[in-house]
Amino acid sequence: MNKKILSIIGVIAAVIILGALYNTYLGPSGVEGEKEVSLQVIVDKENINEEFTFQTDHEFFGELLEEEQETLKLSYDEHSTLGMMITGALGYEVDSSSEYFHILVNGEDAEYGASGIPLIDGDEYVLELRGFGEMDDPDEGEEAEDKEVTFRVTIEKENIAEEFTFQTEQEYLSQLIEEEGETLEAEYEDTDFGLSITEILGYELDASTEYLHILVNGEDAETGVSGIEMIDGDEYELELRSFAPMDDEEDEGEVSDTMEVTFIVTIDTEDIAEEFTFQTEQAYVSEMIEDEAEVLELEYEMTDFGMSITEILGYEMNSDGEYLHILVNGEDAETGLSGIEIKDGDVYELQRRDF
Amino acid sequence: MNSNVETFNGMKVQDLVLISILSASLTAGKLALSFVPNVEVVSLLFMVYTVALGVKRTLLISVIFATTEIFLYGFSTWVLGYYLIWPILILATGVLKGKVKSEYGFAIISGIFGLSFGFFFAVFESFFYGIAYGMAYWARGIPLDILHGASNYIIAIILFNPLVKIFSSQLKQYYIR
Repeated sequence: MNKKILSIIGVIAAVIILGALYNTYLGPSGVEGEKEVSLQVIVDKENINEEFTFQTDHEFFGELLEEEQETLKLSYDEHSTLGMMITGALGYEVDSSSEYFHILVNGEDAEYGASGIPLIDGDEYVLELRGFGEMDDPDEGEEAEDKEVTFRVTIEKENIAEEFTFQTEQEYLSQLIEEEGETLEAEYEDTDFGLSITEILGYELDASTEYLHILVNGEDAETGVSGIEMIDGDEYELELRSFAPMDDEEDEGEVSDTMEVTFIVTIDTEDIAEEFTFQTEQAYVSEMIEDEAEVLELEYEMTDFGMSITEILGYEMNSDGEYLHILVNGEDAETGLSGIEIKDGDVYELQRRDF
Repeated sequence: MNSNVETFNGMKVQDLVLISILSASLTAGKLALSFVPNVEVVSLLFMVYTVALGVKRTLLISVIFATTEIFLYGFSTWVLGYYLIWPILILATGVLKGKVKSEYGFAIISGIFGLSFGFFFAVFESFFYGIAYGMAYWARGIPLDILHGASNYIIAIILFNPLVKIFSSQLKQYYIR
């Protein structure tokens, strides 16, 4: 036989063997049997966010999508090399020149296309519409995207309740406030805790008694304005609220009862974990620990945001890299120490954490 | 018009025309086979051009070819890789030109090139997206790399010699040195 033909046959045989080895050792493999998986479809710009739960016997994600095509109103192309390419979901058709459906498996980027993702019982899949060039890590230079957000300012005592709609490419709420500083008549300071608004819509805050409470889509914000990453369609609200009343402002005649609370301090880096039981008549945690400053070897500062601990149980806080996380009965506190009202039997915990 | 008029860096008008036509032939060859995954004639044509026309001109052809890819598919990291990977093949062919006489040598080079195509891009993409991405990219593409290497070998073993012969004779006939 011709030498060339022999070499070609040899190469084809090698391809078949190598292909089989790949499929056995490296290729994605499915799992047989019934599985329950969830699928979330997100198209932010159309406010589509739906979650489905499917029972399936299929081995691969692509097969499940084919089966549930009608439920998901799914359209797709079969690409010769890439397998299934999703072109539409829940009635939304992808503009393939600028966007695609990104697949996440249990919160991680999928390593394969839909056809190559093995279905595993309990897995959570997400199909999220993304633009080309979007990175997963915002720190790695996410492309600036135009967002439309609603911004409300409520200052009840001045009858101020204004709503703004802003188009912005900024990433954080603080940047938007800086950008729209003129419209919002905002004055602010840069503090260790990020941007701190001192004046808005002509109203000057009295930092010792009041603050602007932040709500994101109606929920209390977990961080300050500098930590809030904006998402298209979000609604932000700044509402003027008062700090806890001071002793001298307490309603006259109110009787303070003695309460017993547990106070735990955990500094993981120093193996400090101490528990105290305090009897107190104070209304707020900050007041109680002021009383117990000696026991707690406490140093603190009063800031615009209330009490800020600088040293506790002999451990000096490094304000750049760490903070004391507050837990109330095991749940993350929604305010600082000055805002936590003491209830009998409560357990307060301060945990050192890294930013 | 005298086609021998010197234009730039000793290049003649006929060089400029030839480089343009051969770049276009690469793009056409790539598009013509684009419906078959990882089966292509671009590697073969680059090797044929290098043997018949020399390294310098073929390098210029590769630059135009890679730039045309940007016009066709938009700017992306893989296109940047094209500016590197084809010159590597051209330089390897240029080095082998005087040493390898049979088409088997060129077919093996073409096969190895196809096999390592995914690995090269995995390394290249790692610079942009990290090593984990590069590893996933490479592992995912191994079946296609195997196909690429095998098809490159088969295409070269069949077409390399006939194409070099035809191309060289056409150059002798029409190309004024």
